Amino acid sequence: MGSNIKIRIILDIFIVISIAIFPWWFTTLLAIVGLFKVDFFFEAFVFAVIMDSLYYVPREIFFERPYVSLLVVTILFFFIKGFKKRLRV
Amino acid sequence: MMNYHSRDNKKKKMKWFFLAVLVLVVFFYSNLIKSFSGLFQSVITPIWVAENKISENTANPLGFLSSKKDLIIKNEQLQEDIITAEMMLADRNLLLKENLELKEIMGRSDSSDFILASVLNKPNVSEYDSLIIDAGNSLGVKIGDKVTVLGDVIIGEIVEVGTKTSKVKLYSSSGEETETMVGLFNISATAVGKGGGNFEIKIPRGVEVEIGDPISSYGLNAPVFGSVEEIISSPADSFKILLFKSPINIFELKWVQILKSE
Repeated sequence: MGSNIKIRIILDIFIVISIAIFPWWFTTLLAIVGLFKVDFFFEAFVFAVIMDSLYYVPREIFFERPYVSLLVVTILFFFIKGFKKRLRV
Repeated sequence: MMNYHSRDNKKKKMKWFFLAVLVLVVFFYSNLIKSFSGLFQSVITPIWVAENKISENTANPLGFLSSKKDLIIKNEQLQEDIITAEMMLADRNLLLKENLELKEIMGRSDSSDFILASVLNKPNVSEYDSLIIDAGNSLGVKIGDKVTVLGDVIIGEIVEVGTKTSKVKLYSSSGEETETMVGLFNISATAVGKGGGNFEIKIPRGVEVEIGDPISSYGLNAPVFGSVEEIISSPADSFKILLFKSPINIFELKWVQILKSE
């Protein structure tokens, strides 16, 4: 339990720094690590909202929708959840 | 039995959580992110400022991997480029002086007003390919104001304004369409962004355009997007494709100017 919280805190700090500095794909990679390592990494959704809030501009390629990061995290969450279930089997 | 109940509860909680997320997204997300945009920017701004200061004061950490021979060759090439650029600049200054004198004679003098702003983040930090600058409505920035570099090269426009910061949509973002004028005869065409400062224009094959022709926006003192770098055409195709890129490296931008709209 203790190591789980430590991993959460370390990942949270890295993701906040990554949101500000590193490319979006690196932040997504860190979120994937979090979703794999931590049981219910709800912070990924919070960080997705932060990213959308910070950087959203209407883009035709995204049909001018503001929830690109949130959508990506939601898809990753379900995908990794299913993947983890299969790995245990 | 206990494990089954707790797993069942956990599943129920997750279902409610995702239902709440769905409702939030469908009904409130745009307003939610707009409301919190200023707060998150003020929290993250110190990290951006620190990162910019650190990158200004430290050398490229991978520089030591370059060989001495490569560095000498690069140095000589850059010196030649500087000489060429200085000659072009002298020629350009002469033409600019003539242009301004002609405009004054015709009663159309240059009255553009601009705000200087520093760039807080690089465009590849987010999927939206946007810039955040440290000028907001406290300095008179408005939505729709054009953003240029060195006053001459247009890169985007303001799409959101906060008190101290603003968001810039880059014209070169993938899929973005912008109206431009091509060549010396100001042919109207739509430039499509390809990302990373690159653009593409599709024009009828019969239109005369050459490599090096300027591509600018509309208006009397129109800033430029770039100049034609490559032309792709085939005899079977009724269109030809012009490729060009911004002369500015948007990943190394530090300062921009915002042209105040009237």
